[in-house]
Amino acid sequence: MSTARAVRAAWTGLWVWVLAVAVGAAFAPLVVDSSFLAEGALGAAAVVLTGILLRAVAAPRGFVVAGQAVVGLGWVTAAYGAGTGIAGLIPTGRTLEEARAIGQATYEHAQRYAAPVPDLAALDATLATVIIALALVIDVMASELRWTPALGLVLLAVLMIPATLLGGELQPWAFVLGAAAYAGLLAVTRRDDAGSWGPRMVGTADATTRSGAGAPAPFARLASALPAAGITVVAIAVAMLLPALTPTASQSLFDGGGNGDGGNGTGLHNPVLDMRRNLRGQSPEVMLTVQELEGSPRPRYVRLASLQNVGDRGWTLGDRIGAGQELDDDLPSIPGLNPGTDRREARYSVAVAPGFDTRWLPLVYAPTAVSMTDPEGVEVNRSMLDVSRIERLGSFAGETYTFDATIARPTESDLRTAPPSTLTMSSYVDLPNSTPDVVAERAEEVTEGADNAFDRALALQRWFRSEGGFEYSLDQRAGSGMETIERFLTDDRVGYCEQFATAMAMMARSLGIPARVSVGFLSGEPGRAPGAWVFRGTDMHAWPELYFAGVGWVAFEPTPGGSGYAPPSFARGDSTAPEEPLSSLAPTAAPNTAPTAAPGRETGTTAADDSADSSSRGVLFLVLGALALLVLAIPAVVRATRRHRRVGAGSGETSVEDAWAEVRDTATDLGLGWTDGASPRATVAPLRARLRDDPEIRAALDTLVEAVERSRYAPSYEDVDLTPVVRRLRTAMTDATSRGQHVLAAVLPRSVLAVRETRGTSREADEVLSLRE
Amino acid sequence: MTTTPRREPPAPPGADQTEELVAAAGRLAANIESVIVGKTDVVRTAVVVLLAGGHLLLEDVPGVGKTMLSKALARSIDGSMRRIQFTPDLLPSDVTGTSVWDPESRTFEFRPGAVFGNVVVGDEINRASPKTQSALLECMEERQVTVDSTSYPLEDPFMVVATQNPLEMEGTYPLPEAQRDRFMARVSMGYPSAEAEAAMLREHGGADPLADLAPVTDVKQVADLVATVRTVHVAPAIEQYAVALTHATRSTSRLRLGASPRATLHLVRAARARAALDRRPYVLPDDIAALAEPVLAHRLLLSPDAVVAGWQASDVVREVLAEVRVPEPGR
Repeated sequence: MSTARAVRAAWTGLWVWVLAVAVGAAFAPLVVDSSFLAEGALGAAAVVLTGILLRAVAAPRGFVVAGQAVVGLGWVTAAYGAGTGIAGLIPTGRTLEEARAIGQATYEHAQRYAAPVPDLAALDATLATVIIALALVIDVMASELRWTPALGLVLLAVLMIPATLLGGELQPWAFVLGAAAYAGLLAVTRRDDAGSWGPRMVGTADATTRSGAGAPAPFARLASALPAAGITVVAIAVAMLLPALTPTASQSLFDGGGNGDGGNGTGLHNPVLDMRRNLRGQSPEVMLTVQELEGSPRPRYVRLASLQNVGDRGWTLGDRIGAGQELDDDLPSIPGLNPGTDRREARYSVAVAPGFDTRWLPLVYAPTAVSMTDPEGVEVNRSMLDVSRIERLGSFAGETYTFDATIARPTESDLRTAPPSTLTMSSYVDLPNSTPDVVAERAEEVTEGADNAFDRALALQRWFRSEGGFEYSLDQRAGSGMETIERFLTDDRVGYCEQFATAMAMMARSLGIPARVSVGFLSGEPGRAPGAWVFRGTDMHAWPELYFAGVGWVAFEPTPGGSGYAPPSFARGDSTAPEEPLSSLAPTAAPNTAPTAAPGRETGTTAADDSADSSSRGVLFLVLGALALLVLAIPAVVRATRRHRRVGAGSGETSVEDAWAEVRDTATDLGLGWTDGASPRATVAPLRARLRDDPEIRAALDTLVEAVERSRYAPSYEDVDLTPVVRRLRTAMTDATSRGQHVLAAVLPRSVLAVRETRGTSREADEVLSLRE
Repeated sequence: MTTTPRREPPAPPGADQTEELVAAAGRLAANIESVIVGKTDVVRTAVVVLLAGGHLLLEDVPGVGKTMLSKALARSIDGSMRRIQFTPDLLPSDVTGTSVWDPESRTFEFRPGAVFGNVVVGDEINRASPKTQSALLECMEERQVTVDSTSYPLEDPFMVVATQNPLEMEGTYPLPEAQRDRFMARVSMGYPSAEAEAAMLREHGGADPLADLAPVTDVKQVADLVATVRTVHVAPAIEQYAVALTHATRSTSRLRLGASPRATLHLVRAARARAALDRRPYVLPDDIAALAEPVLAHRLLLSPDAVVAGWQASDVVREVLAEVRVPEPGR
């Protein structure tokens, strides 16, 4: 091998490596920690370097590929085989088991979490292996098979995976880098093809151009590869442009305001602030995934924390010093819940997304046991039953845990007959002196005629939800300060859950009903696994909870249904089945309540937009799928057009060069082999050997070859119709190949996609020579 | 595109001429093969060179039948045949002839040398001194002998069949490359197969096989055949291919000296003969490819690197053949 060729091989290797890493980088947004990229890049470098070295010593083709595969496999075994390989390098049966376990773990992990997926060693191993395998595949396709144009389609297909999982959000830089590397690879392999005999053209240029026989061969060869390269370029361009043209693809379209804190904006140290930010920023990021265990009801009202104090500027967490206890003890008993009250037990496992930087543990009220791997510094508040971690020990981001909860199912009579609040609950009826008078006035007005706390609460809720003429809008100024509440209750009556919750809680307090405001998530959307629920930033919610002796804290829903919630059954206030078990947390107990089938999210505009959002995502997938199909169909269409043009079109006759080209393309498509650049008889010799030994087939081949020779080299040639010959040979070639090759030929015709194999390596010398007689 | 004016090509041979040629060539080949057993390819190349009007170099170790082949070829044609046994003390005048003083007529009279014959067999040409070698080789190209400012034309047809031992054999003077270039083709006999050797023992164990060999054609017919071969059509794509091949030998790093323009000319001429023998009035790339090794290899000088790497000139020709594309119309 000459130095120039070795240098080209090195360039090819470099581009192959960059391409593999760039495609691997497109997977980075799927996971939190992209350390897999560095690991995969190293392994890919090992594979590519092996190829360069083996080619530099002119090793046989199969040997190069085998060597690369061995190095890749050894690398993966050494890095991720957990020492199961012989000498850590050679995979054994146990390595296979390990690989299966890694695959299984990755699958489960991916099932459990939505992107970005938290860190997991198995996931890193899988993704790094994917990059190494990609490097091998790209190298084989580009360096050995010379299928560089077809490679574009393969890479596009691989890139569709992260694109689909991310809902059309692609990493533009990974795409640009990939496209650049691909272009480089295309250029290098093209130069490689021409270079194998290019220098000799210098001397013969004049001989080549003198005759009218044809254009200089390198240009002709470039031209022959152009359709395939063109398809690929168009495909890449479409893939890059499409996300920008569709509404769901770019989060920034919704990033109008409110989420100005930058990337780490989902942190949660003050739950109220964060709720505002997430709701108003319309953050679609997944915050947590909750998995139902053991037939538990669907998780709703997943609470982070409850606000106890109301001050001049709104509701706060209040003074919690000394109220906490360590998590590893049994959780405190549920305040106010009598043993006689109906209840159900539930159990959930939760994964907090790594990007959700919360100090408060999301739990369904009322938690009775929490089990997590590292409960250090985690404490539970005895009266609120909310769980938090000491600030200096960091957040629960990326935490996974399971918890048990007791969900009270009080009947309406339980609530109606609840005795007035006891003294211990006095702090829950406090209101600051600055509380506007309108709060108490309105509360009195609205609850006129109700003779118990529950009916008063229902009246308040009904007033907010329907009778009071309130309107839901996230455009309302944020906050629960006194001015905001006063204006909310008097003039504009426009707000979102924070105003509805705090206003109702304050009005309840003014009536002497203990009340607090809880912050958390309302209801998620179904996850990929059955019983899994995914909660996003837009699912964040605030709601008032009122205390009823014997039942405990009961959630109410004053926020109007325009946001698409399923309000608790009592929320409608027209409950005509008095003894029906009531639960704010079990919408299934009240099947005729507002829509439960399609749990909504708080959206910045209207509910209609929400459905438009999800339908446009569907359209995106449809468009992407249709485009992918279209792109995939292009080679087949091009091939069919060519065949039609050559055989039997127009005059109905097939000219000799058309017949030759058609037989050549058919042989190429079917993988029968065709070496360009040899004489006609040398070219068909391998084909002759592959076809059935039948006098008719031999005669057809001879007729074709002689016609080509005559037309090209004889002083005069009379055109004859070769249609029957071409048909006969097509049939013969089809008979000589397998069904799989027929399918491949129909779907991905190599004559359109690949640069045809040409003479140019000394390895073929003997082969060609042996055929010459 | 500018076109250089081309001489109107001669009309390709008609069917009659072709048939005559094929028949005559077949007789020749059969005749020779009756004494040279199992060497069809070599015999065929020898006939091709004869019909193309070239000279043939037979190179091989002693005793494989080089001389036998050349004699058989010569005897098959009913013409004058001369044989020169080259030795270190052979003088140029022995080859070309010399002027001697005729006391009766009181003039110098030219005594033709051994080169004046239709087929001249130069046996072990590399045993002669370079001076004598060049004397023969000049005649080969010029087809005339000049002695004392007078030119004497050689016979027509005129063909030199030279044999030589490989260079590493003792007591040989290798032919200079410029002179090797005059031979249209070089072929190696190679050892016969076991069966062929056994057959040879049976048939030629006793008498001289050449003694029974009768001519199958005459000088006139050979001259006609040579003329017929010249009319075989060579398409521009074929010329282009031959030129590309020789150019490739000039640019490859394995060679110190590539093929000359004369080599290109010889290649195309030989290809014409081969096409005619195949009853084809036109040359195919396959003709060129098949003859590239015998026509080109003996003219090439390997670069020192290639020598060290163990390359042979014929390997380089094969490599070049594999790398140069056959020109295709419309592509």
